[in-house]
Amino acid sequence: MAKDQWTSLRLALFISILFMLISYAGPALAIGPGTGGSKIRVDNEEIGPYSLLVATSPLPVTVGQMSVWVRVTGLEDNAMRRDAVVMVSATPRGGGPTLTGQGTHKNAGNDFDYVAHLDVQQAGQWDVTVSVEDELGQAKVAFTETVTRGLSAGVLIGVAVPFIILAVVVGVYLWQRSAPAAPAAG
Amino acid sequence: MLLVVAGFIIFDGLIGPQQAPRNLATVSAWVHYRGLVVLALLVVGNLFCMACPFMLPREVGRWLGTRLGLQRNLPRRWRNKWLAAVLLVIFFFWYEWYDLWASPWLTAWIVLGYFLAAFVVDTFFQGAAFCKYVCPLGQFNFFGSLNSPAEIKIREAQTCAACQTKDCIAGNRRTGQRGCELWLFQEKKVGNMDCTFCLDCVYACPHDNIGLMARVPTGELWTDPRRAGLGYFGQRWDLIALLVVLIFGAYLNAFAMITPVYALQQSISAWLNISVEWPSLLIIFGGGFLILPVILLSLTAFFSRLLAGRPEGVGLIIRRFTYSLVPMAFGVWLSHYAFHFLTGALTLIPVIQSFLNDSGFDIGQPWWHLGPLVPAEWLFPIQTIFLYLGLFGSLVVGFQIAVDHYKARQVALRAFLPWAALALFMLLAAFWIMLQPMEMRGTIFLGM
Repeated sequence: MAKDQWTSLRLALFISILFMLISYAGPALAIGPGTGGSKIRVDNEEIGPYSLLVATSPLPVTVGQMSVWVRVTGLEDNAMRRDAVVMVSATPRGGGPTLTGQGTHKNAGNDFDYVAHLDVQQAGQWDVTVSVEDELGQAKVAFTETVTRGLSAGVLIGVAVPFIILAVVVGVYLWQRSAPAAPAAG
Repeated sequence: MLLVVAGFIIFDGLIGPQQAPRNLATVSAWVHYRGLVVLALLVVGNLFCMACPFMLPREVGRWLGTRLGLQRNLPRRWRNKWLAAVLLVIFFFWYEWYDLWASPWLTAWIVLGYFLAAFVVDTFFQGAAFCKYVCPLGQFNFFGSLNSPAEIKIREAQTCAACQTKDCIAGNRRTGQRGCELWLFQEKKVGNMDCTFCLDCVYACPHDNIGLMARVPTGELWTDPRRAGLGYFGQRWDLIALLVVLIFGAYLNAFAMITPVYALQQSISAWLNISVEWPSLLIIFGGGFLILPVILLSLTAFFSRLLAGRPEGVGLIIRRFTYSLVPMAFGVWLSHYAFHFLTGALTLIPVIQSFLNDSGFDIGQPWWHLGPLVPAEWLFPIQTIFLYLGLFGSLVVGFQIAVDHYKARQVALRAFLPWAALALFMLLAAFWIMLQPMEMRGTIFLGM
């Protein structure tokens, strides 16, 4: 085998092996909580007989779907509670009906976390309450979440105006500049 | 500095809490690193290659390779961007498939893999082979720096013309400072492509004739001169492939965050009658990285040729004008990554507090209420500004490319119009993505 071919083969082999190693390692650990784009709201606080970890998603929460992710750990044995009833309620501070949803393993994608999806259609501050209950007892924790208005046509048009002016000015300048030079006199 | 950060990422990623928003690895890599990279590229240039933490394994590898006599030139067939483009596609695919943003453990392994790859490649090959031909992060930075307002370049052409030693490329024998490893000969260097801002040439120049200087952003794309270490942009399909990956990757990366992609994945899975995620993801990526670019670029080039009335090949027109889409795509990257950074920048504080608590320093309850850097109502206007800026840049670059090539401005305008339409279409596509609800990611296919 020529030296160049061997060098190429060695490089290709190395890269293949590196990626195979990472691919192999992936599946076992990728089945995690999957909370990218989320924010911790309650960090392992000891409430009643439990330690509660609560996060919301997406970040920031915009008008539409808010997901509340809950992990319940028993204080006694430090084991995750898999058969708790987890309820999430959210009330807009500006007034409006309270939304409720149940946290489920199906939403979480695993059998130890709980995720509830709430359809929040109002921007502003929301009071969110998470309640947990199973044979150990019950616990409740509350926090405030800010729901942001999404992108609006007003923003798109308002921001466009200065760019349209800029584009016209620069466009005219470039057009003038691109004119062929006038032939020299004489 | 970045080396220390990389150390913390690996440490916390491997042994810290495996919840993404509590871990230094995920928060600093996917929120802060990416956000700061695009902002630095917008404001200055390729500062992150300048401070690259993988220089250490590269230097060790080079030293070892030289001592053991292992170092040689990279074979000619590898000296292009094909490998980097393929690695980027693989990375984007893995990013979605394995929910990398949600896995501290995998994030740490990626950083470790990077250290290993940089070490091995530069042990065996000379000429900063890892940076120039392999590193996906570096390619992203090269791409972004095409839009930057600063460049490492010469001050006076006459000084270079009179220079006999060409230390900027050959190295300075007196000081022992090496010259540019990436074969960017300053006298003929044009623009930021392949420049890691390492400053080797600046230190090597005995005439202090090289420096970081301001320039017109995207100006290097307006014309196509022969460039040191790169040749002509318009003749390189490998560069176009890299750009296509980064242009359409901007959309795929953002598209994967929103609810419709999950519906689409589920439809494809139902159609294929399978329950695993990767085939549907593969189809979406195949469409996004191959089919859509081929159709869009070919159609646009076809209409450009039709309107210009010049008998040129469609491939040639694609190679000429694809560069005009760089600013628009960079606007999408900027809008996307700046969004995450601005919404989550201050999260670093409670994450560090949590890290210190876990490490045995009892500093009390982390301040989890911290998060956004700007008021929430500023976010979408800022994103919108970046996107309009991208469109503006694309229109300017497209027109300048056309004028440079066709000379007659009426012809240039007609050739440019389809590319302007494509850039506008890309802007609308970006707005459409922004208008969609975001999904709580990484939960759909697991456990169903």
